[in-house]
Amino acid sequence: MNKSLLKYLSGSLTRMLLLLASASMLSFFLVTASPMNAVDAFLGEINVSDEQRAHIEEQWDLDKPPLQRYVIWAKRALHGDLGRSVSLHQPVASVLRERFKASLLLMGTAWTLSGALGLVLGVAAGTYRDSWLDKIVRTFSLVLASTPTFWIGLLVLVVFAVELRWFPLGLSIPIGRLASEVTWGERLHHLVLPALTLSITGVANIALHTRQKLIDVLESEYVVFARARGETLGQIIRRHGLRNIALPAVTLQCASVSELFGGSVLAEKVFSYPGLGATAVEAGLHADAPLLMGIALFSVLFVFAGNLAANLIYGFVDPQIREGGRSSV
Amino acid sequence: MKKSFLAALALAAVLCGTAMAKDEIVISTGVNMVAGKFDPILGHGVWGPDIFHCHLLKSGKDNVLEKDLAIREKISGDGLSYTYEIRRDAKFADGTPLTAQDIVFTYEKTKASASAADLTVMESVKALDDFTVEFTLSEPSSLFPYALSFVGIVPAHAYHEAYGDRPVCSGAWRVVDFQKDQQLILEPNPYYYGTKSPFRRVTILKIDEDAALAAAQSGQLDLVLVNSEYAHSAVEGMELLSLDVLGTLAVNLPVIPEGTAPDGSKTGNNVTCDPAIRKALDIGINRRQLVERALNGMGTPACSIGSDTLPWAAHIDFEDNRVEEAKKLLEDAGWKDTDGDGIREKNGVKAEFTVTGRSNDLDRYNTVVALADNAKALGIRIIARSAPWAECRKARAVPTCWSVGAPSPMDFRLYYHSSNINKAVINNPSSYSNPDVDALIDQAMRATDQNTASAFWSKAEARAAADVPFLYISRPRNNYLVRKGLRLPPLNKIPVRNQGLSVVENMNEWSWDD
Repeated sequence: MNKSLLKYLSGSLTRMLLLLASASMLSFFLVTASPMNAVDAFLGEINVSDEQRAHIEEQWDLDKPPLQRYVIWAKRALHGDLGRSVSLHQPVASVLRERFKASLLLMGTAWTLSGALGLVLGVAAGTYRDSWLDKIVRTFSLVLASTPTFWIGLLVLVVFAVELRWFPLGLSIPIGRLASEVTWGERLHHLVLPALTLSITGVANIALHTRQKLIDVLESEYVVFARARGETLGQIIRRHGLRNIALPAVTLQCASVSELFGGSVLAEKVFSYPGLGATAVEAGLHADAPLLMGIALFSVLFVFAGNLAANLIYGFVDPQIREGGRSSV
Repeated sequence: MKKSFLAALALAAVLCGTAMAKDEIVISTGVNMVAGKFDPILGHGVWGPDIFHCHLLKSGKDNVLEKDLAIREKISGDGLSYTYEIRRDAKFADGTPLTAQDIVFTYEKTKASASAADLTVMESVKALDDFTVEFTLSEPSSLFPYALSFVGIVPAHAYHEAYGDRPVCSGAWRVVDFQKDQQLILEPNPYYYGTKSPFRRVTILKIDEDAALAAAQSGQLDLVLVNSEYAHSAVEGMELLSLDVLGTLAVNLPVIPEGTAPDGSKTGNNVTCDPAIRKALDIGINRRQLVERALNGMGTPACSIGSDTLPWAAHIDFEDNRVEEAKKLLEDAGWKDTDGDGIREKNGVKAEFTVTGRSNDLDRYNTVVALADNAKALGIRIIARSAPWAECRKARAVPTCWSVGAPSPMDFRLYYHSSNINKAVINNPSSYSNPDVDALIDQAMRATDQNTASAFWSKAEARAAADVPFLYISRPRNNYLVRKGLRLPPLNKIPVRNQGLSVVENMNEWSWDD
């Protein structure tokens, strides 16, 4: 079994490396093909002599043909050097580290919230099928699933920040406060609204799928048999339901990592929350190729890790479908 | 629009609350101040005021170059060697004295880096002793001293990769905490040799322009940059401060007929290449009306690059809105409306051309729209089009609205000298060439003192103005709402436009009225 897991992991690793290579190539050539010019974005409205412009291009390797530039970049990246951000004047790796810390807190909270809430709502709706509770959960989920994140964000802002004044809008810490003086309570206070917004769309997805799977389970023959044996609804859900519905929930939840990433761009913009999403927008606006590549690679890794986690968790939840482990079952 | 309105509302609610203590102020001067990159080596001082570093020279009263760190200046007769003796009491924020070695380090590093500070003309810099530096140039350049006012001195012992976020500097302020994209918290530098601020702490907030007014109404901000659209909105406890800035809106008018540049791009314009069209626009448009319509009145009509705001600019001022005279000029040149559609023609060419306005600068686009309306009266059809800057700036064939103006005449040279035609996309966008102007610019470059240079620059501008390669229109103002009781002494000069930052230039002299 250990051997097969190893085989599975090495296969995954190969796929990940291929994915990283192709993602980096694609994003590099997209940036190259865009009409944006990094030197112009850097200089803004400052005029410099032709010589100085040539000097800047030389410093940034922009005088070389795209293919050669990509090779230079890839060689450095293999050694762990992702280059320097042109717009932020910082090594890309340190930008990623710094911004991801803020995003991780936001995305992590939202991810946990959406998973837990979605599961609870889905189970409740599936158990009491066609009841008023089910109807509410279904309507709620369908409405949310078709609503854009930023719009929900604005609504949440108007209700909780403007009308009720329970929460601050924007920024991750209070005005005029040194980062070192900020308490965790204050940080959380600023985190609530963006995290809530980001989690909402995920909830709908999980709830609807969980509900459907639970209904399927409850109609299955083994549940009919269990009922015949005299098990109560609660026992059936605990013994047969949860184990079966956990699978789609886990898959969805892990696959939602990519949506989470996309949603964070909008949520961070609405709430002026300084994370990776907001940075990606800035990098795009400044034709900051090194930073864009860094963010692209990072998001590939992030999403890949989510999917890998889903596959691995499968194995623990349901040994029957353990991938690559068939021979040992 | 709806989104920004909601955001503004929400922000107002959040910012409502406790007033700051009197030894602290909270301000918002646009998004750029909080973007970081306070690194002179990469060109920080070129973009805007540098309140963190001191410089050898500075743009002082009436925009004339003054000594800052320098106390004595010696320029060799051939204009190739500039020697400066510096003050001995300058210290970095960590208490280390600032010496000539720091200056050598700063300039050598800046020259080697990809920087917005253009030091191509500097050949070498060396320290003659601890407090004297000597710069050697590869050719005479009276523009060089301006570079000395841009590049702030960094400490050789404390410079590192991420310096731009946490400068250890010798200027009036030092960074206490910098939360990127959120706020920048400053305190006075105790070692600064100039005026020290009475405030203990200054917080500079990053807020979207749309939300700025709401933020001001919330009462927690002491100064906020506002869009000219909101300039007349009354906010309780705050007063409008409207500052003149360098930054003249101008439309380039290509002086050559349509053709192709060596790089294959289109160049020239068959309508604007006729001097009569350019001249008629120059005297026929109503600049006062353009200011009213496009800038909500928050600006000044402008007939030249700097008029009386720059020591080197020609004092050009004339009466415009001379519609009848302009019409006659066009008639005499053969531009007549024969088909009765209100647009003149000449040899089958309609007096019609497109002018672009940068889509993310409303002032510029509005100016182009208002200009089109003005030109209609003259029988010239201008098609106003909004476009991203990446497209607008390729203006050799399709004119665009520029914001020009800086203390240094560098831009003037890039825009008017014939050697800059077809260079670097934006240089000399009108493809203007005049041997007299070229000669005057060259003489200005060779001058070894700024007064002589200024005289040549002025002459060059006056000579070029007759050909109207640029149609100068207006200078928009920077508008701020300032809390009553916060006193801002005048700058005694006209600062650069750069998105509202200029107001912080003398922040160390601000105080509360008692």
